[in-house]
Amino acid sequence: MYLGDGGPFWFAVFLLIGIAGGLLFYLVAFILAPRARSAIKEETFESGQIPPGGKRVRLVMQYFAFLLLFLIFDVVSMFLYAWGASYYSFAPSQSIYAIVLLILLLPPIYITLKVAKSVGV
Amino acid sequence: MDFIVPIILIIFSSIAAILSLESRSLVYGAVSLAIFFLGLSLFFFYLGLTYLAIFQVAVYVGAIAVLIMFTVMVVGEGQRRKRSVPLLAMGLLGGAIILASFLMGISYFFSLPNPSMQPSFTLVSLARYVMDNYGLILFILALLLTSAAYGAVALARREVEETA
Amino acid sequence: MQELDKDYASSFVKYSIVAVIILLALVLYLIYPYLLALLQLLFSNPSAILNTTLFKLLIFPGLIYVSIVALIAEWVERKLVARIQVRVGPFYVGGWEGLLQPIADLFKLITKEIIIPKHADKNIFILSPVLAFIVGALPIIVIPYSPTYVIWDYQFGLLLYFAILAFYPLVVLLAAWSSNNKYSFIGGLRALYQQASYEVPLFLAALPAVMLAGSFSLTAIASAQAKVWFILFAPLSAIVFFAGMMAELERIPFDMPEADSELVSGWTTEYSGIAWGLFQFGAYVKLLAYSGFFVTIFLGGWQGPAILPPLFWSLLKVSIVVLILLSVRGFFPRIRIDQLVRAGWGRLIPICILNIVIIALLQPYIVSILR
Repeated sequence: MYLGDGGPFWFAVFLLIGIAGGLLFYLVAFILAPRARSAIKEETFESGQIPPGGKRVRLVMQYFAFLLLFLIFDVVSMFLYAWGASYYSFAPSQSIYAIVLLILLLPPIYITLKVAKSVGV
Repeated sequence: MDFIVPIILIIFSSIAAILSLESRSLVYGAVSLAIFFLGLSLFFFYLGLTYLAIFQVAVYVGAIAVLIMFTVMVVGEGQRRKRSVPLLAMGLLGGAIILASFLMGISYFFSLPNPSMQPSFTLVSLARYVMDNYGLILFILALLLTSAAYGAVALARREVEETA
Repeated sequence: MQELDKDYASSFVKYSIVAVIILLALVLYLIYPYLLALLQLLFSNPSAILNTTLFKLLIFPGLIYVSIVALIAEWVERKLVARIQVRVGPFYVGGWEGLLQPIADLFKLITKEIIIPKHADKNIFILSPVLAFIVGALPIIVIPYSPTYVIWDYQFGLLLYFAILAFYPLVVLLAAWSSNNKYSFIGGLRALYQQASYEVPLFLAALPAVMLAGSFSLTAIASAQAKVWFILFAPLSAIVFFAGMMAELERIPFDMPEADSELVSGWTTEYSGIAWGLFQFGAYVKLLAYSGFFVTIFLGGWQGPAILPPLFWSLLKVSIVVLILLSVRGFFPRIRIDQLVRAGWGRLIPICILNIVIIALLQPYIVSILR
């Protein structure tokens, strides 16, 4: 693969044009837009107080287990795509392991959902 | 001429990896880790392993870098460790050894009579081979993943119960 | 009042002028021979321009087409949702029914001040809208509108599409954290949970299309639907893909990260002016990319009766999908985060898996129909 005449070349060109375009938007904005800085403008926007205590950790960590589950499913779908690409050359009886793998992916989801419900998220 | 591309990719990935360890802010370190994974995936593209390269991006950058960044952002910055010269020297020595062996491998590969960047199998034939001969291992893999998922959920549950 | 942070905007302007000049020079250097060939064709054989890759990249189906359609989609959405909600929508700007409203909005956003919050991470804050725009716009390279109108007919087009879209949760996380606002950060985390929860159903729902076509290339997938569209073999996957598409685009009913009434305005709260404008523009470009993808893998791409050219059929199908996506906004209420996670993991994934298992078990019959 060298960036010759083919696809990756145009991909790189598109990427460069995209970055240049985004930065151009910003440049035009910085030319046309007023800039009047003041301390009160740059305070972060808070229309209320966050209650003190452990509530914030709960809000943040609510569904963390699903991120881990997403990681696992991402890896498994790699194997599934390799299996799926060979669809035209297998008979159903030979791919029983893949079907069992698919069905075995469901229990972790239900266990996680049940635990999430019991904890109350 | 063929030599240039892997060397540039190696240098790019090494710089990203060094930045991810040594940068002043942990979030910048996580971002350069994601760039390192991207550099590694470009290396897989160069070797002709397109499928692996694309899933490297999808899995490592899409899931693992996100998890690392999530952890860094939620937990916050810790204390910086102090620099120690012996550790730095050992690290440089180890890095130099790995780099030297890598370059030796590449030059050996290019000194062969017909170096070809195309692997000798296709994705379909690889999938058939795995399914026919290692189907049982995929099954065991599924069981392992199920138990790993359950372990992750159990750990997260204890976290939430402690703070609730 | 505390004192202000150092003025980031002036140093950013200096660096970005240099960066834009270098990038444009690099692009011109790379494209130079193609540009010359294009100009020569302009005078000798104008109709052959439509086949050059440079034309496809820049004009159709590339940058200019996508930008114009994004602006039109913004106007159509506001008009459509307004009529559904028994009001008028934009009607003042422009000659007829407020047609120039999106352009007026663009000018308004460009001339608004960009306020960088105190103690925010300035580099990431300024650059994340550009990143979001790029990640939304890159996938249009592989989407085919007809056998010839595809910028890059990549052998692994479908996987490249998913690899590019896997960057988006990273961008959301960076944008939310760099605002230095507790509320935006929590909103960004919820957006992250939503995106991560619905990426797995998207992956699994696109698998039947790969299975039935036997290839990862989007043009091969669209060509394989000459006899039967894949939506008839995988209707459940199509429904799941449509739902996952709405969740990834953060459209209503999956609007929770954006218009959350308890978390101010979500993870884009601190972005003002063109920074926010780039997020919205990127969202519409992503909408077009996803609709093109859906049409290619389920609705047959450019396949249609031969009376009209294939380009017409693909544009018609993409328009219908985009219209449905835009009009759903007027019909549904918003889903809560726990309903969302439960629906994504507990209901959509089993439906996908059911469809994959059915297709795998019925393999001999399907092969005889398609081949």
